[in-house]
Amino acid sequence: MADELSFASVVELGRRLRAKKISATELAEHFLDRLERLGTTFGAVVTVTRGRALAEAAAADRDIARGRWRGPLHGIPYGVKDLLAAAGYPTTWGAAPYDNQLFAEDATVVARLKAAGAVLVAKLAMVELAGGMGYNQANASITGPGRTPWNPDYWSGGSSSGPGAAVAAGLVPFAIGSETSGSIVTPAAYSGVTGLRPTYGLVSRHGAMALSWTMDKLGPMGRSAEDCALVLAAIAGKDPDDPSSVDRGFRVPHPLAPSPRRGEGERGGEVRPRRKFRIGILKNADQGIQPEVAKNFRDALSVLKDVITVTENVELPDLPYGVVGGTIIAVEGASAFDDLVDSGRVAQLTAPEDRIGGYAALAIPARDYVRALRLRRPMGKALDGFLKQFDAVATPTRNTVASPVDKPFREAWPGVVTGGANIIGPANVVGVPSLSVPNGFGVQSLPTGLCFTARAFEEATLVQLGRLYQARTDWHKRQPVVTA
Amino acid sequence: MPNSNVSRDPPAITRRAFAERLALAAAAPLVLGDLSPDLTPWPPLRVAERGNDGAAQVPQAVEPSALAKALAEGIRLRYGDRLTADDLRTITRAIDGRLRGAERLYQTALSNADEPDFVYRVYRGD
Repeated sequence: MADELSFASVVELGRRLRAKKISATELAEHFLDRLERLGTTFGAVVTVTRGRALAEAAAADRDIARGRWRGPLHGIPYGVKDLLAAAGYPTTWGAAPYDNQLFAEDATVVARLKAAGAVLVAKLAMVELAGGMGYNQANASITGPGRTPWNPDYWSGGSSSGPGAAVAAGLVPFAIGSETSGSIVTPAAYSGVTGLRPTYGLVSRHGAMALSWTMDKLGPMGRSAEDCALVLAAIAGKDPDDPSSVDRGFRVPHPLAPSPRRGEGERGGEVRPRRKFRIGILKNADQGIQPEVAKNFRDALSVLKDVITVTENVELPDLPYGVVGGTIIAVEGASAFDDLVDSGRVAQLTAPEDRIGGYAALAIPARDYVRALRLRRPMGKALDGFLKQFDAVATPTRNTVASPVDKPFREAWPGVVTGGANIIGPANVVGVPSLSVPNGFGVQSLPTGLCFTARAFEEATLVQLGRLYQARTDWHKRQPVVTA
Repeated sequence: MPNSNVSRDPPAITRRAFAERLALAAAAPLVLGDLSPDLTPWPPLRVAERGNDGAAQVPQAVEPSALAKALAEGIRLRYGDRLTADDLRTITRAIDGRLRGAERLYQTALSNADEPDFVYRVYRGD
């Protein structure tokens, strides 16, 4: 039964719970055991929340026995990146200066998952301060480097390194990560899991560590687009404690209708949309990148050819996304961690470059920061005008597979530094959503990702695309060999 | 999904794109969340520019500007007791790279009416 549970989807685990083939307590015990046995192997775990998990699981069992079914997450174990507060447990932000930090209340996301009946089993590892000090290597966390279960000599991605590794290794069915610029989709790709970065403001940031108040997003990482959608539906929505949260939620889109040609031919029974999705491919998206990544990208588009129409060589509006994003994150991060830098405790961070990375930001003039904020509005308008030509833009999530854990990033894949088309930066600056799904493997048996990016609040479109792809492939069902 | 319209030539890099990457390379050590290989942050000291033939040129060392050195001196005056000479050189290079990139912030025209993308809300308690 163990293997069936470890890599089962939220949907499948929910089915077992509803059928009373397993209890929430048994499920929690199963994942707690795996977290305790395997968590450190992958640098995936900060704290196993055994006491809280068993209490929440027992409550779920009582509810379920009484017929009080709270929904698809009821009784499902999960983990959160350790930048989310959970009452009673340390919240380290992945950083030594905060290793004993305690918060009295749950973050809004944790509270909402509790209300949905989900069971918190672990606080998961992360790059210290979500990378805010400029790390340049995988070993930049109080728990050491996150390791992808597909090849533990390689990084699981960052800064949500623990959620990526833990989901991939079957230590949790789903996890909550955060992204300021790349920190959900990157570990999703490097760990071979599905990651959904929502529109800025769709999910409350209350109780989450701030790196950049105007760019931080929280989102699900899981086994499939379907699972991510179920989680997003539980955590999205307005929160009075987060003024940036928006007054709209997220509903899991209805499954697409089965093809009229159901049962006919090889593709019989597959779901098809009423019309084809319009997909833009960025110019140079698969040029000058690792060949395996490029091949997997084109293969993935081929898999979807009956449900998409492709426009090649599209180009983003020519605007300074990188400088705007870099300036905003640098200044907001410098302010968010002002006390850490000013006190000198920043020297306690793990990565040597992080110990001095915060100082240079102190020299950025206010003029530049305000200019960046002023540019963001026309930038968002221009990017929205670009994105609305399509249902989504497709890119390889990353231009390479994961980096080795023992090398600086700059030495990981020499020669692959000028290719590809970057949409992670622009999308994060303006706050639009992306979905990354596993789409194969590259060198060193490491996974690669396919990324869809859409207009603000078009998460349902991304989920539909993810469903269509995952209905036609089994990359998201592949399991790494995991041993203690 | 191969497409005949797709160029298979090595990707050229424009001056503007190069400036953007340089700026990101400089900013990233401060701020990194996105570790794009094409945005790999280090080192701003030595950068490689791609020529028209697509071949990488010999990296050139970049001497930090006088302004970068002056700004770094401000950091030294405030925190010099805890920073080594190497630390200060790294910080100076980071400031210099950011200054070069920041020029792009001013190449997109804004009008007086273009406001920062936040709204201050007045507070009144119960």
